[in-house]
Amino acid sequence: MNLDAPHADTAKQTNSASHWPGVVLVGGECAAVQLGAWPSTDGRDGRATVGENCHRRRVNEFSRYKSQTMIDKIRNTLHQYAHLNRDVFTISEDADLYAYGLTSHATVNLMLGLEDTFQVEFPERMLRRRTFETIANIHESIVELTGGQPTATS
Amino acid sequence: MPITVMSRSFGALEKAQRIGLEIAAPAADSVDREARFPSESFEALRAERMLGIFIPTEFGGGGCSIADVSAICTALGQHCSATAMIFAMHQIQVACIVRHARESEFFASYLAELADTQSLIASATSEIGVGGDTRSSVCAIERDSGSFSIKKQAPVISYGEYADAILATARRTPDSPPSDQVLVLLKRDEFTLARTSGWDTLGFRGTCSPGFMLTARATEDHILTDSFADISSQTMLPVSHIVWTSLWLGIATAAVGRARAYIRAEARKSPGKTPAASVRLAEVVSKLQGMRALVNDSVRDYEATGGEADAASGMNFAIRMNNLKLSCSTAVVDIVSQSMLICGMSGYRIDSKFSLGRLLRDAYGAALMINNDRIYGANAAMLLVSKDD
Repeated sequence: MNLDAPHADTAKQTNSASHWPGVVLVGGECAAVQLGAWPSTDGRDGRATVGENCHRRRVNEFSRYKSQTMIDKIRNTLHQYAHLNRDVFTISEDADLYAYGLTSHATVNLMLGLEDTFQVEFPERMLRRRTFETIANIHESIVELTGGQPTATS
Repeated sequence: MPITVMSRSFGALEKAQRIGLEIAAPAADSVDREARFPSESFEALRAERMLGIFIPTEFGGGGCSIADVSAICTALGQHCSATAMIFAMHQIQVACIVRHARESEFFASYLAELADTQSLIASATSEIGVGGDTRSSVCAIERDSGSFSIKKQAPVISYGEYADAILATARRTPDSPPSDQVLVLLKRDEFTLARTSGWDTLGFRGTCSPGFMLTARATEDHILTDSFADISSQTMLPVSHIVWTSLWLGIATAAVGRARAYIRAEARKSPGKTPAASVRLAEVVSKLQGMRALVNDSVRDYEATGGEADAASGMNFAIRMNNLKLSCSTAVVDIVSQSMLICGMSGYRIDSKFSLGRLLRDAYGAALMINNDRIYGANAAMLLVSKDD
């Protein structure tokens, strides 16, 4: 997946950051990810509004602090296996995946996909509905299993 | 069973045994033949306040444990499968409300009303168009200024025409995906049922389970607080499997009881000569003990979760509860069939006191209510990721 391209490109279009606005997004309803079209899957030509650029910049900077690569990979795995009725690349990290159509059957495939992507094994105690309820929850579990390393595979 | 179980049940088991023997058993053949609701059994169960036994005492219920309810289902199942199944299904609905809605003001007062009026609750979880998957709904609740309406095409609603209330599943909103469901309580004056099919089946004929078009309108406080996903995995499925297998254990116990009586009668005819089928009896008694042990072990397993959402939503727990259903639904057919071999033509006859026809017909239903293949499929999927206990 070449998900880095759009925002790398966008970063050039925007002013370099003089502060770290992304930090305000931690744990909250991640407005940038929700509102912005990053990474774009809607077939547009990549031209973004100032607002979107702002969001993309925030996400870009934010990523340095919250292992965004891992979040990207989680979103990719969701994209492959979760069969949501929403675009997994634009939903918030706190969005309830079950409300977006994640079924228990799809959850099993999602677990297998995540185990393969991150080269981990979910222990029995993590095989709970809550673990896979949100991207943030999945992220937290993967961080725990990988010992806080942003990613196990490149 | 432990003394604590008896002391908490306030003699409920003894009452169930008496009702089973004196009221359900004499009516069982006519209930089966006419496929009619076992009204005399339920009149007696209501009179003894047995419909409220699973409701905590703080709401005026009997405060019985799952072990008590399991033992009562077994006791009733020995005499009339339909009575036991309707009783069991009602207790499943009670368990869902107690565990997932008691915090709500509406449901707290409903539980008190339930204990007081001895209302009977039915279930509308299956739906035409979802292929038997109860974790999927086509219909949705449509909210409108504090109320909601629902229209559901149910392929079966057991004892629907005799129920005082129905718990039904539906999608949370008209925009929700099929798996995002809520459970709603609909009282008698809030729903209408239009019958869409009959109920002329091999067994469990007295459960009166035809299809219906369910139309209802109620206030929003009738929606259970927890999502149906949680209610289903933590309560509805484990409790269903425990109470169903408990009553199948009753059917198996009744069959083995007839086989034992038959062998005893044979032995008395010629003392000193062991009847040929007595070895088969020894074998089937061993199978029955295995089935009983599995039911009791699963009751303890469920109790060990202590109502903790986390413990009850784990995969290993779900697999074990599914295995309970799979093993017992197969065992009950095996045990009744083997009892038939022991009783021979006396078991095959309809007009004999050793008759096993009705029990065998009922036993075959066990593998079909939530089809075993669906459950094996679910377990197979979970085993791809589940680790050893």
